[in-house]
Amino acid sequence: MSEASDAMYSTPVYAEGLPNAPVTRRFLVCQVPQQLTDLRQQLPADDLPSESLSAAEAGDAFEARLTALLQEATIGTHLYVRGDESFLWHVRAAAYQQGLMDDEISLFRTGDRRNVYCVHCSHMQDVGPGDETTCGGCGVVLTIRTHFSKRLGAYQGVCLDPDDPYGEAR
Amino acid sequence: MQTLSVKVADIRQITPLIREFTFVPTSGELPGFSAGSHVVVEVPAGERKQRNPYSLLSDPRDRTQYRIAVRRLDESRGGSQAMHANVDVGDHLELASPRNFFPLHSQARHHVLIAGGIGITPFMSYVAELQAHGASFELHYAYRGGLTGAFVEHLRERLGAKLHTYDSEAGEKVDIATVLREQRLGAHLYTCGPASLLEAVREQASALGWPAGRVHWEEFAAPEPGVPFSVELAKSGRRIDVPGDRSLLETLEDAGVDIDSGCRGGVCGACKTRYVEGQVEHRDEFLAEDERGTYVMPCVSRGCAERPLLLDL
Repeated sequence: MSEASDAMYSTPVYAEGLPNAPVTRRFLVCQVPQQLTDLRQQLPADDLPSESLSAAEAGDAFEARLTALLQEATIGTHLYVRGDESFLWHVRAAAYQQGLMDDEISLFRTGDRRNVYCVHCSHMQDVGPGDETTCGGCGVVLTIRTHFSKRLGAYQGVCLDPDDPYGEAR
Repeated sequence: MQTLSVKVADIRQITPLIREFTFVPTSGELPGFSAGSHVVVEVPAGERKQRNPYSLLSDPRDRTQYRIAVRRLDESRGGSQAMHANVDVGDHLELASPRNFFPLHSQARHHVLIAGGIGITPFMSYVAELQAHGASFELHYAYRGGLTGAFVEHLRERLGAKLHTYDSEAGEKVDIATVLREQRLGAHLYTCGPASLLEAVREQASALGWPAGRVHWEEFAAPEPGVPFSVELAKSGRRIDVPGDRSLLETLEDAGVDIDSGCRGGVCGACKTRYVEGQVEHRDEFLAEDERGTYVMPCVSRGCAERPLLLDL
């Protein structure tokens, strides 16, 4: 099956271009500083005010700085986030918490890391590429479905083989 | 359609143009409603009934009464004049149950309300609801002093600094850009009043980068008259003439055709009806461009004089 026909309605689609809507202020958030440079190159060369934050540079202060910036921001601010899926949805959840709407957030995906939620034990884990993984919580071998929860920021992991849940026979 | 029977318990002339009506149930309790809801009142206007939507002013938690306010419009088709002239205390009226096309947004962290004149009405129930929950809000109320500022004093007492008033008779004007510019993320904007106000608010919000999902409005859209035309009902073969001063929806209701309706102003979609043949003068804000060859909104849109409109009814 091709990737397109396999994708579900809930599978996220990431930004490739920039939003058309008028924006009065930009807020750039990235996983590593290099991505800020990449993001800036994508943005139009204008003199709109902007703030930026890199998780790698901010270290432990990242969460607090992100929240503080969002709390001070006024409507018209657009949030641009660049990083892997785990990071994108972590930032998106924080932004949502502060009242941003999807129309005010552009997510640019890089890399392969993403979160998988085990439907059997609710364990959440960050995984690399591939459509199978072993749950770190209950040990069940999971198939990673394209079904995605925006609330959890994770793909759904479901037991791959109910006759051999722990993959012992393989 | 199922209606509620109510008795007019009180009438107050609040300004020379605005009259407030209090309705109580003829039996039991009234249905609850959410803030921003309206009811459709069957107004006794001569031999015919005119059905007009009015926002509910009362506290949504109060099941013992509904209150509405009606601004008399001399140039209208007579619904508001009939409410002022023909309705007395003790009269019985029929209402369609409350519906809400202008609800509060559940995710909003702050609510910015901008009302023009009689457009204050949906915000009366908003204010009751927001105050009951201790929600963060501000109300901007523009009006003509002595004429359309029906609830200024009432609101001033209850809201204090949350209320900002703009009396055009005193040369005061709401500066929409200033109201919108410094709003924090998470605020939602609601506006109700004349079309010119709604347009100005929506334009300014868009220019300041407010996404459409944060901007909510309700327009008092009444059907405009047009040329007389006729319709044919495909299923029964009936032919019905629509006079120039009646809407297609009203004419179908008068003829006993069972048809759902909601806002009666071309925005909610409840009366969406399929047509098979004929030309439609679309006046609604509901249908998508590609639906207009197949559907008509009979509450506001009309056929043309040349040939009858064949409806799938």
